[in-house]
Amino acid sequence: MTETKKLGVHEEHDIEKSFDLKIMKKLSGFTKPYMKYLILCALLLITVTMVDLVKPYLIKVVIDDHIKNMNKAGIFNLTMIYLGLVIAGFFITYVQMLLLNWVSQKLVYDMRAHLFDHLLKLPLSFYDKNPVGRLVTRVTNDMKNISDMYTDVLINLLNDVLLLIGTLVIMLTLNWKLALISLCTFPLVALSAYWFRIKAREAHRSVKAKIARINAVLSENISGMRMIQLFNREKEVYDEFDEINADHLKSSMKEIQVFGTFRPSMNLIYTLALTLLIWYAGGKVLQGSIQLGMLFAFINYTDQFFKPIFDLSEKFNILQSAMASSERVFMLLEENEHEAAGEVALDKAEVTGRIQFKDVCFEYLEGEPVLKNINLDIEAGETVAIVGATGSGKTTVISLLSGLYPLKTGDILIDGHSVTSLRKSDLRKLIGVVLQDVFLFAGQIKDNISLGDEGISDQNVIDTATFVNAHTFIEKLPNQYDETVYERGTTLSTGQRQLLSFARALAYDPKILILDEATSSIDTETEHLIQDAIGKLTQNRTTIIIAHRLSTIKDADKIVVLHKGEVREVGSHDVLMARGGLYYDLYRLQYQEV
Amino acid sequence: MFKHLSSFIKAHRKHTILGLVILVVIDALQLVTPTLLGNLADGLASKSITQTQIYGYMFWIFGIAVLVAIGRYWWRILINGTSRKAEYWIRNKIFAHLETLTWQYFSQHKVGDIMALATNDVTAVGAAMGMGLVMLVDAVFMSILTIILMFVNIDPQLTLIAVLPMPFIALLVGFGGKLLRKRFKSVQEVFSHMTDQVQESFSGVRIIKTYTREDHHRHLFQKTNQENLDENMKLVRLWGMMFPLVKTIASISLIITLLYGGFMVIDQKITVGMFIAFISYIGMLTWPMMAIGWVVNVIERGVASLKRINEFLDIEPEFTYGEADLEKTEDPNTPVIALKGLSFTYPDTERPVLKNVDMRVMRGQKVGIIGRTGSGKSTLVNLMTKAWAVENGKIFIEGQEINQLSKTAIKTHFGFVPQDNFLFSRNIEDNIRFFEQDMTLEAVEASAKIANVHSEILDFSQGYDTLLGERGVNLSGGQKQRIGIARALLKRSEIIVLDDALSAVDTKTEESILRHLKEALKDRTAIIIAHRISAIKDCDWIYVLDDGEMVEQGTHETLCGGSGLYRHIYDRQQLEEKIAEE
Repeated sequence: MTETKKLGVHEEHDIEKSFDLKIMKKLSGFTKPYMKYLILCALLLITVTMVDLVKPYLIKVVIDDHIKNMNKAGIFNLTMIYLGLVIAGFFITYVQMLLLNWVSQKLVYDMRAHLFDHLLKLPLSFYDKNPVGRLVTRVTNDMKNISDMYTDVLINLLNDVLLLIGTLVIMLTLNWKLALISLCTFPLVALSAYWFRIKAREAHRSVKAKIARINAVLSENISGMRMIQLFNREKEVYDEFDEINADHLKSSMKEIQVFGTFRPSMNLIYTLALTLLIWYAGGKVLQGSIQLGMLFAFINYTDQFFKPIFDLSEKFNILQSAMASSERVFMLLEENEHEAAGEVALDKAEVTGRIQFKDVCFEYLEGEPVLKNINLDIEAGETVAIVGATGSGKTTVISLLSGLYPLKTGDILIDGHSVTSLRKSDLRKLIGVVLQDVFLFAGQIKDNISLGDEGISDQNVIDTATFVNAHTFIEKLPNQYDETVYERGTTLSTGQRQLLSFARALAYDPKILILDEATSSIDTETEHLIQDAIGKLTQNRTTIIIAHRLSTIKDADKIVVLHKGEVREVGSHDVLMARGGLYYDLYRLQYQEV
Repeated sequence: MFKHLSSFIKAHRKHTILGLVILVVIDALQLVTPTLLGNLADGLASKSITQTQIYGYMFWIFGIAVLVAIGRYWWRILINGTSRKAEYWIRNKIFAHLETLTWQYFSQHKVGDIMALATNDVTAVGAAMGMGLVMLVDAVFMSILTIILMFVNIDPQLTLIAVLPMPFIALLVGFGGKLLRKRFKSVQEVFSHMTDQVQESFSGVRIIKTYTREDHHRHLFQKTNQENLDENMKLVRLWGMMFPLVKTIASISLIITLLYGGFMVIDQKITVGMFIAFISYIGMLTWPMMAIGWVVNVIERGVASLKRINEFLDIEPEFTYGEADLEKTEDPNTPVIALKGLSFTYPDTERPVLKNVDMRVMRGQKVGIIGRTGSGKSTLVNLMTKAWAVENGKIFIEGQEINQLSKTAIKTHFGFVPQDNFLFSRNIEDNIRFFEQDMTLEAVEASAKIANVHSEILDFSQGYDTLLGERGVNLSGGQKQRIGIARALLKRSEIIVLDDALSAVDTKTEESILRHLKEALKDRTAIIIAHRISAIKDCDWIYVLDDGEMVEQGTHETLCGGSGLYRHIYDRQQLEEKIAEE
């Protein structure tokens, strides 16, 4: 199966992507329910922008009209109106921000739920092809990028453009000649913003990459510190760390330089526009053709004109990464290789557990058959051991039986019903599976047995655990059944995990039990408990065991020798030993040549 | 508080001070511009200036802007640059200190916590020394200077009234910032919780599907998803309030200026130019007020982090090494290693792990140690390399007391393969070399051959260049052990120790490795710890440990002839084989 993972994998795409209408269209499907709120946000934002736009003009009116005319009442009225606007502006801004964030959070909430749901519906073959880490990133970080786009870009972009246009219009209306003078520095601003965007991103990325490297090396060296000390390599490892650390310093100095150049130069350009205004308008004021307040209004408006340009260039980055994220997310959402769902309902109580494999062939990758023409009859209640070397196709047999992969040729029948025709949930309720590597979910022991099924009571959990000999060790844990375990935690031994997983399987009282024995060594005492539990579990149910233990094999009703995807021998231990064939060799290989 | 930093500060304080001087100078320069604009406005209003004087104003305004731009660039380089250098310097110091700490420290501290120190805390100290310092000086100096200018040049009364709302900005940012950080942290926590949960659901998808638990996991995810939404909104409720509120407070100052200042112009208490300059000054006060609020947080965090770093740097290693070099003894009767009545109890525990153990290992001997799990085998060999210190007179290497010997003397004397052998995420060759740069590639390969791993390495498409670890190849347990053996062999030390280093290799390979070792280590000493009799049965001398006590010793033959623990283990393993052979 490792080979299958290399092919057909979703390649990791670029981190950024330019604006794409197709993606926006797909996103709009999720946006639709919230469209009215988004429009409301935009309207509110425009109102606030108006207040901002009015400020320089207000000062101009105070200077040019009221102060000149000694009109105190005029100043009073004007400032009171402005005060009203400012206070209203505050509330509108706040409401707008809450609403916008709520919409983008809610939208991503919906998308996340949808994506998670969608992914759970995909068949196991999909998970073979896609590394878990990547899928997790889609549900978490990529979604975050999309929500950032809604909060930081879309509406604000509109606002910036409005601010830009509004300022431009006001300036042109007030005095188009002065407007042109202020605007002549625009190419300089645009160029330096562009330059900065490229340089800053470059510098930022390099710093980030290097800090990640420091972290990786540091964490590894801490874990391997004992080795370093044992081999007296402190100096060499330190020198190496110093090199990486210094490399990071170099990048961060570069970042400081980029930022140190940009801000001051933006300011310089603004001052250039300012002096040009003074140069042109100063004379005109003296001549009396331009009012003094007008000159200062322009100085303020020019300042305001510069801000959105800089903001726009920053938003561009967010937009690009959101586009790339959306594309990746939609690629997953368009994955429609759903599990084939049968329709036939089956009542567990009526099933006896007879299993037939009829001419079953299977391949994960085309041209590389894993199972060839498997024919096998397993009677109800029988215990069958499957033996074979690694890669003989044992695990595939299990996966096919529980319908985790679609059958292509041949058929598997349970009590005469084809597994493909059965409802997935009905089929899987029949079968209990114990895998070699027992997967534990982070949570309490009892949840790991019931798997969150509320139909399984705590007493049930204890009873099943007792039945499969797991109770003794669970009882010794500090919090017993409430003890928290972790997937990667080493709190439980392999044998204990195995027992736990027996309890899990038994709690669901399956008609058919599939057991993949652990290969790794287990201490004798636990081994004894496991064998005893297996004995109890196999009673009254059809059991298929992928066997690695001699005692298990000997107790089986039937041994199936699987080799290179084919059933080579079927029979009891004694019969097969007497035959002196493949089983005899396998047996000798495994148990005699110690 | 700066005791660990003092040498850095001494070396770099000139840069920071120069940077701060530049900062203050350009702050002052920046304040000149509004005054210039105000004067210009007055001149224009009264039409009392000439065109040439206007050129003069232009020159000064632009000239100041150029100086400010240059100054700003340089203080950034000087102050922020120094703070980054400080981060680099502290990080190196932390790492160097880590290297001196013993096993005990690492067994009591999580990797994540140590990492947090070297990343988050270092960054926080850097931020306080860089932007924190800048903001502090800038904000305090700017606000004082601005207010003085307004007070002296324009009007004291107007200044007092107009500036009144400003301190509220500082308070708001100061307290709000702290709360904001708290909420931001819980957003991050919820997010990482969500990541863990999704990771788990996808990793366990096989179980979820076979037990049809999709609905349960969907439900779990929905809960975290909702939590994530709620925490984010909690953050937004605060964050969304802060900035508009700052803006509103600043606007109120402006309104007071327009109203009260406007009246004063009409009453001819101040000129229009003063009025315009005052508006600029009010605008200039907003930023320093925010900075004062902010800087409190930055510095507070920096101080807390520096304290943690200091605490770490203050940790003394549990023991120190002696000074003496090691001299190989010429006397054939002096054991290479001698233990005399060695007992040992781990710190903070009660039960002794070793009880009165005596042992003499002669040069060239191959010694086996066997015993049940937890009998003290690993502790015994770890003490020989001073993983923990013991009292004087218990352990002798080449006849010299271990506590007299230098670290290098002890560590270079042993080629050790520990039980939890560790390989680094680099290529196989580097892992075997482990900085033994003088050795040729042939020597590396020769060690790998003895360890029976050479041909498997060549099976990888990139051979010895094959990268190990997360981004490379995952080796089997047996392969890892054998690479560990190759690494220990390449060191060419006097004594080779294999601490259960053959447990994951099959018996056939084990036999072959042992045969090779015997040839390669003709005159050198080897100590082999094992669970399986097969790994030690050919040793010159075998020690049997049980519950910390040396219960038996002898050769395989003599021990088998007895009826002690060794014979018991031997019988059991024979029986196991016999059952398997049935």
